[in-house]
Amino acid sequence: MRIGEEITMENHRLLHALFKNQKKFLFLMFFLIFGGIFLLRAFQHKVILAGNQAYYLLSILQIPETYLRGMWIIPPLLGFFCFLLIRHLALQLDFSQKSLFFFLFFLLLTPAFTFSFTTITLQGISLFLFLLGIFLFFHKNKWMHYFSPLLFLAAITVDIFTSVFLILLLFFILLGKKEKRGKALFILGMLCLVLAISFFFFHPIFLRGPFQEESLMKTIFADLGSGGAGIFLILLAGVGLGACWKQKKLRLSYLLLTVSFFGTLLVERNFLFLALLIVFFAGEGAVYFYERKWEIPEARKFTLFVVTLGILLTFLISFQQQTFANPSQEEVTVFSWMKENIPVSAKILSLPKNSYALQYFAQRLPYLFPHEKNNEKEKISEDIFSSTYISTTFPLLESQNITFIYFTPEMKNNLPAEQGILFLLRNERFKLRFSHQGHEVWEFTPETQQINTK
Amino acid sequence: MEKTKQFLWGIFFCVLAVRLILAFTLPTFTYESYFHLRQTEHITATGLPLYHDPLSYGGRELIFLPLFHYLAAFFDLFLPLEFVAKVLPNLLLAGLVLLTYFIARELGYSTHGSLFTAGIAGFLPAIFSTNAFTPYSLFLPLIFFAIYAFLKLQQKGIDEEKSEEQKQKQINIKKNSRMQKKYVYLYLIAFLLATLTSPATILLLLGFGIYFLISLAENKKLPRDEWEIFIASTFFYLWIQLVFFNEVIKKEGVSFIWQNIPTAILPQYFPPVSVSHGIILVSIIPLVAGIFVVSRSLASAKDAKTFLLTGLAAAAIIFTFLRLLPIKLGLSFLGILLAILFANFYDGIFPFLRKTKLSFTLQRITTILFLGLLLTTVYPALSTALKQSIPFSEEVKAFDWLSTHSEKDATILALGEEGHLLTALGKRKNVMDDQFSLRDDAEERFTEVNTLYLTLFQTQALQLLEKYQVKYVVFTPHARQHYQLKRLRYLSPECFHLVYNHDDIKIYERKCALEKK
Repeated sequence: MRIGEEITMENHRLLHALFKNQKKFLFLMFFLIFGGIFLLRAFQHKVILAGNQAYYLLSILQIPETYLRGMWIIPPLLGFFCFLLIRHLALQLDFSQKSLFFFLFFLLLTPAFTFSFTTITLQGISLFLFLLGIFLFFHKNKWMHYFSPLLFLAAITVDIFTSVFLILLLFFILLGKKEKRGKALFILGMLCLVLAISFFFFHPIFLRGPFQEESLMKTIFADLGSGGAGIFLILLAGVGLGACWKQKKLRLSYLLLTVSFFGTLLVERNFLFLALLIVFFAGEGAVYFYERKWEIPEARKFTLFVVTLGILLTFLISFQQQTFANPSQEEVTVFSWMKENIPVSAKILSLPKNSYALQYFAQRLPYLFPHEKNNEKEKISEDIFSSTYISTTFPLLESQNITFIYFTPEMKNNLPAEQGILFLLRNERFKLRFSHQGHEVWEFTPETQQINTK
Repeated sequence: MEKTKQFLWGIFFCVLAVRLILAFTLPTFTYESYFHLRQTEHITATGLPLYHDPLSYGGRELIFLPLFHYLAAFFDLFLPLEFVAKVLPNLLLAGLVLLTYFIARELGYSTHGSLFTAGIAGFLPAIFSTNAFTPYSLFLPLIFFAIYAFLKLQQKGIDEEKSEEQKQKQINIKKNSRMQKKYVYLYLIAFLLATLTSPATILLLLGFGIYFLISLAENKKLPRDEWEIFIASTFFYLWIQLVFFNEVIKKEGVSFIWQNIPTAILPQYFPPVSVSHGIILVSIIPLVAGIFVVSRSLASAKDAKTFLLTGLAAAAIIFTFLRLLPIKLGLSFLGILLAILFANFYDGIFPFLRKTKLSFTLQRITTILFLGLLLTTVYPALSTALKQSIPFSEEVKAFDWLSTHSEKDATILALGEEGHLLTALGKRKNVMDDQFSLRDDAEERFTEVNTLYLTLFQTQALQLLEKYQVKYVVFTPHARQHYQLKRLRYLSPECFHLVYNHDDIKIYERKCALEKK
């Protein structure tokens, strides 16, 4: 192609075909991704529901283990409805064909979205309720409208951050539609009132979690952690942010982005809503690349090739992580043994990330949960694992009433074998009570008990 | 023209000859080179880099960019590795003579000025480590080739402006289109290869970024093709880093940038910039000339191409100052840029002098300049080459001795710096070396290796030697000098048998163990 010739991607056959048949393509993609994750988890002998938050919720709701087999269907079903509702909402908001395609395509490749709907998360449920509320609000049948405030109310009960974000998003969507402005203002007013009342009288949680210990970088960049969005998607979102600056109707989305960014920055773990905005701007960025006239076609081809590879790489990393995420069947076997053989009052020390599944399956109390944010307990736990001398470790275990320690193969690999807790296990006060496929449960006998036994 | 070519090739061969003479005169390689030699050897034998190293730190994972090693391994297929390791880096770095000349010419500088540039770049003290077999010897030529191709892309705009007739313009556009395509590909290939050679390629991206900022500040309209090239390069760079260093970034987070180097030895890798040493390494005359040219071009805001060099130089300074780049690499990059800017200075100073009463002394000034450069560039370069940090050939022999006289699974204590020498020649496990990436215990090992050389107490030494399952302890003149020690103070004949004692190098075998109660 010559310099000066208008080079765009309008003549790109494959993309053109994808735009045209996007509905079929995107639904097929949804089923392949979600079906793939669940199938591969089944083949890997992993318990179908992964992630700590799911077991935190299942423990709180006291849902018996027997129902677990049937529960796996709920998250993908919610995900599918969310996907449908997002598509419906995007059409209502007059997204162009290209914007819609890139938005939904990137959404499906975003780990924050797939993770939220392959397991049970409050953010996923909240988003579903919110989207359903919007759908009913715009429904032709007027009776349906009365249900939408109820759904909005349910959606904002998760925590304050989710409430603020959803109210802002609602404000952005509802006020865009002039014909329903009155009703929209009424609903928004009501939600703000409910939020204010609950804030002043019930002191609700600012943000639930974190349910796992991860750094901010790992929370945001999917390439480095388990959730988040890919770095290339974030870069594309940067391009989209610049490209959308001139569109006045999108100005409020910058406010939403700021709120969700600071929400994530403050408490680090709530990424689904920020991911939605990143995906939206990344879609706009892709449209900008698509419609832009490139002077150097080679640079365009090269850039698109690398961006596609980058997004696919992130997706594959996260796909693999979700497939291998714990708990495994071996862990469940150990937890079942604990349930049968360990006293109900026993306190069990392990890595904080194992706590939720342990609590749910073993029905015993773990020493430390990540969401407790208890620095003192974290320090004690670290000291027990790293201490070289029994004179340090034993008093700590005794003072904290820890009587059992659960080791996973990963823990044993990461801890030094010739010093620290693994070395101290040779002491007579530790007794191996159960071992299965590299997972071990050790019992610690406190001094008082030892004297009594003698 | 023919004479210029002869001069240019003359400088090239002169630089190459001096480098090769020095390389073959000194019998060994720099300490870090032994890591790259071992990787090259492994690629030649198996076709794959040694990402799981069973000897380093007693066995560990290690991720690095492998292009340089593959290139060396290719030559190793039909030439002896030692010969390849001495010739290839020197040939590549001597290639900078040609590259800098063409870059200077591309920037519109005179042939005389460009020849001076070539000479300065060839004898730049910062890159005159003739016995270093490291990826930087490939990285620097690649990065400057990418800069050359990028400058060639800029040529298009100038030609279009010059053509007046519509027909001629069309012909120019067609011609330039083909030319541009060629240079786009050359740029992309050079950038791609540089990205696969060293993560320091980010220097180029940051340099472009600063160049764009300067251009915007000076109200210059940025050509779209430059933006497009920049975007393509940024995306590719990030992708490669993510593909190769994903695990490292995941594990080390931000400290990945500092290669997980223990804080105690960070100053050794990123020493605070000593002004006098820095000036010697980049050479004083090009430095003064460079500062003059940059300040003049920023003040006049005319020369867009100088903005690019200014941006690149600023990137090198920022990265070196923030300790994101090894000092030597930062100074090498900066030194070459200053050598290029020297041509601009040369071209500016002579027309100015012609207009003054000093015009009759032009010939003499050129001679003085030439002699000044000889004194401030060539002499420090030779001195740098002769003072390279390399092991003595006796030390090399001692490590070689270990490969035949120690148990195959033995772990051997040597200085961290000598770690690669031990794994490459001794073919035995070391306690530590200077590849700290992906090692959680790098800091701990560093402290404990120091303790093992400095402690007075045998029980402490034995405890640590047992911890790392060390069977032999190597005590070289280098270690003696490093710790200012005459001998290891905890040694006793009952526990440590002297098994090697030649040329002041001692190897002890541990015979004792602490009894565990």
